[in-house]
Amino acid sequence: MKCCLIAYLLLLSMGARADIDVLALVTNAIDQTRGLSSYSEMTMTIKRPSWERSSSLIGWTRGRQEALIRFTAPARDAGNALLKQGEKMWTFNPKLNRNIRLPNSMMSQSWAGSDFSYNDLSRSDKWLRHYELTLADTQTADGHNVYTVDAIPHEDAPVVWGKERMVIRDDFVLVEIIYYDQEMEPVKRLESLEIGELGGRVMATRMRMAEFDTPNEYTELHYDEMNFDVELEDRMFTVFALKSAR
Amino acid sequence: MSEAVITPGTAKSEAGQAGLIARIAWRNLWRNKRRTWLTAGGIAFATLIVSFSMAIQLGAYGLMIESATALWEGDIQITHPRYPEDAKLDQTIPGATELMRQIEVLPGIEATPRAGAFALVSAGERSFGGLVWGVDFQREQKLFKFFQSIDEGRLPIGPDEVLVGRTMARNVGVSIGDELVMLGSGKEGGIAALAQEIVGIFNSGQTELDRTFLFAELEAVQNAFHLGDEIHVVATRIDDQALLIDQAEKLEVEVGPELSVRTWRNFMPEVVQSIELDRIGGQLVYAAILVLVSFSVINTFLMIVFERKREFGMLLAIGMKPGLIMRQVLSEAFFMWLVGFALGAVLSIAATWYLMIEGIPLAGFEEVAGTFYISDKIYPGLSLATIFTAPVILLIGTQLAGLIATLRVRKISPVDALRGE
Repeated sequence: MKCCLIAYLLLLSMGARADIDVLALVTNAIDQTRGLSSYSEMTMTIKRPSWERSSSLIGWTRGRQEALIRFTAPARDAGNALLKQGEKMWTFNPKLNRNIRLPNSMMSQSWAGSDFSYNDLSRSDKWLRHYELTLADTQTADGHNVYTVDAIPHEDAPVVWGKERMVIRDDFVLVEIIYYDQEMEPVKRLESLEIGELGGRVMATRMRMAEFDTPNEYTELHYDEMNFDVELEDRMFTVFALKSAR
Repeated sequence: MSEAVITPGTAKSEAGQAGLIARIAWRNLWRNKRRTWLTAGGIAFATLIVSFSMAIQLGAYGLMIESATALWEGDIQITHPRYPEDAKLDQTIPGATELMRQIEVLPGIEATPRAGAFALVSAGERSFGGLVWGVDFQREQKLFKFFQSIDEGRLPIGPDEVLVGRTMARNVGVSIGDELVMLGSGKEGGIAALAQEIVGIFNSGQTELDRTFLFAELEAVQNAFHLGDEIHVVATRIDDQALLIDQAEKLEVEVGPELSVRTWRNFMPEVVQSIELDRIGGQLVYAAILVLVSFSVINTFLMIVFERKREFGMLLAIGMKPGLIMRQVLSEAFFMWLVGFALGAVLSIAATWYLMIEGIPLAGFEEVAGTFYISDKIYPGLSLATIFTAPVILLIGTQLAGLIATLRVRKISPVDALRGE
């Protein structure tokens, strides 16, 4: 009887392991930091051997498709903003006082001199639509099951990477993403340096993006403030709103 | 035939003897005028062909180098050491004003500063990636032919004006008078923005340049991208290609170890390779010509020695040393060479000189030449190497020929030689 129970439990745990729905895991990880809608205040620090620079940002998201990020400091950059609608992106510059549509070819370029590309910035639902997701590994750490998920882009996906390897905790906190090039060499890594509670959710509050070649050059993004499921006007995510800074 | 034979014993001093040998050799040379002219003609012909071809090659290389460097790249470039393989905005040359002042005083070098930044170039809803160059238009215009390629409008003269490539203008959908917005990252992070009016459109024929390059005033680009007094490239041109390495070394000393100094040989290895390839091909042909002519000279001297076996036998019989006979024949070979060389050198220098003034028109090359803003004529180059390479090799060849032929003199037995017919 006793051994039967153990066998049953063992079977159950194995079943649980095999039953992990990778798609749901990634979907939940995306939604974890977005909610139905979100408002956030962030500090971005760019570190280079010869200089360091911090900027303040505020951001809004709604659903998985819409996002708006605006610089608030330093004065030189304040007012610059970035709007994302699905696959489309616009940037606004207060000095020129106009919106500029970003072509797809520019999406992999560095954003505002940081280690984030425009693509990285819009941590969106691209994994759900353009990638084949497979569970590569499961481990246990700090009382959590930690899943390693390989995301391999479909043949026709508008993606420069050969593979993205995500590490996600069972509470949907994103621990790490490693970006591999077409030769499957690791190029850069986004890692969560601090995990905490913000806006009533457990999430990565400090993240660092760095290329493997230049580990002493990196960009850190720190979430200072986060509110989920906030009330947002429909006009928030329009090109018109982008220009009429509020 | 025997009037030229003088008993060598009468000579007193070494110098007198040498003079005597020379005189006899010169006279012997004309005992068979036709053969001498034919052989010397061969030497002259080889000298002419090889020297003249080398002169044309030299001129063609000059043209190749000119077309590669004069358009935009320059002869020597100064950059941050990492800029050449990874052109990031961060990798700058600091203190540009002071550096330019330092380079300005160097003789034989003219330089111009450039700052380059990648930017999103857009007008209305259309945007493309581009490379915005901040330049000193007056200096650029003087040094580089690229700025002759403006086919509409003019060069920018104010900080709010920009020059774009034909393809870029078409892609973005703009023409002269329209406003163009450039958006990128500033140095040390942040956002850089620039809005300028298009005053000129260039069409260099170089697809890559016409599609991606934009030009604005240096200061405007430095301000927009927060570069201060920093630039990315100092492009230089030098007066004399022969001094390329010297000038590069001089610049290296001037700019210090923090910056990298590279010549076009470093940053355009394909030009170096194609020149090398052509040079080796040429050398093979020249070697074939010179060896063939040398063989014909050997043949001539074998004949000379064979014909004069009786004469040499007689000389040996009356006590002349074989070494002296060899010296005599070698002198004849020297004079043979001298006649051929003089003839060939005069002809090749004359031909080269004429074409250095007139130029060799390249039929069908006009269009290409127009695209690269280079001359459509080749002007041969004259150098010590082109004049003397072939003659020196032929001198060695003729002396070897004389030597090979006279080795038989030692084997001549006076008795047999005098008896045999």
